[in-house]
Amino acid sequence: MGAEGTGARKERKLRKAFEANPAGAEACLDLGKYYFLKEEFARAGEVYRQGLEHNPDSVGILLNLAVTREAQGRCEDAKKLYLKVLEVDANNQSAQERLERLTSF
Amino acid sequence: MRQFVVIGAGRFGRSVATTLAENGCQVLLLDSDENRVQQMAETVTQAIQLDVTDEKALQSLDLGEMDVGVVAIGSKLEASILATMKLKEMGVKTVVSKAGSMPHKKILARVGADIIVFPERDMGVRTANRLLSPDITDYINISSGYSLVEIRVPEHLVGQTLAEANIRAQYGVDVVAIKRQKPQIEKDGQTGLSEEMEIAPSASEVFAEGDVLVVIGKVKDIETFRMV
Repeated sequence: MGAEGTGARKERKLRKAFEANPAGAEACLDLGKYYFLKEEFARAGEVYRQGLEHNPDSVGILLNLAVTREAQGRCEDAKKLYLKVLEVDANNQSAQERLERLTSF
Repeated sequence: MRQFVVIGAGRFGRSVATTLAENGCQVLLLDSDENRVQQMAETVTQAIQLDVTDEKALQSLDLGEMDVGVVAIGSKLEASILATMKLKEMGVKTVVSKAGSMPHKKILARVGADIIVFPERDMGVRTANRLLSPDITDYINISSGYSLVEIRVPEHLVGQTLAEANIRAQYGVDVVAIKRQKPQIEKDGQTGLSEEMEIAPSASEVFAEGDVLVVIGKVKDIETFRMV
């Protein structure tokens, strides 16, 4: 089976896991990261958005959605998400560094 | 390896010295304040407490071998002028001096500064330009009426090739590079982005969501392109 077939199989597997447990942050992150790395940012964003409906304070999902928004050039949305991460986890290093970078000239 | 002497360890001087040192340059930092010198001792190649208005002390350092001298003294006019003059006299190839006001700038030019920076004014111009055009991420004035700007790709161009977009013919500006964020997994397993630069993009390059275009042209043409 070619790389495309393997990729499609992996996507199906990840999607199935996410649909079976939409409240599970791990399944959400796995599927979101899969799309993110394929540069399918809109799909990754949608997965993370669904994940946040069940886990609104998940630092992992918030951070990954923020990075995805950055990749889409939606920097204002990314900033809001980093600030939300810091509301939940005030010492989060990744969010602090990325927010600082986004707000610098 | 290029050698730099930075005189003055205020915010501007520290920032210049740290960036140069981080990029592998040899940096000698001079300041009259012992605490500032100590703070920078681990960052630069050598940090020395020295009053640059003390000509003999300055003369005792072998600064003639330096490629570049940066006089990062903004408020003490006498020290700034004297340091600039002494660096030129000692044979430093390029002297960059920071000005705090327009009269200061004029004097520095008269005493031989090769490059004069006016950080507050320059930053003010950049800040204003960014506020005027939020989709412009950076702005460099090349000469009167011409600029190089970084601008987010207009939404309607996403998915088009550079040839299809026909930007030069339609707007009279050139896309000289495309900055693109590539997804990656960081060491900590977290997703991240690394910046890639496509210099002189080919006609078949496809614009993607999130791209930042580096555009050169007349200010009025760039403005027209931005408003589309």
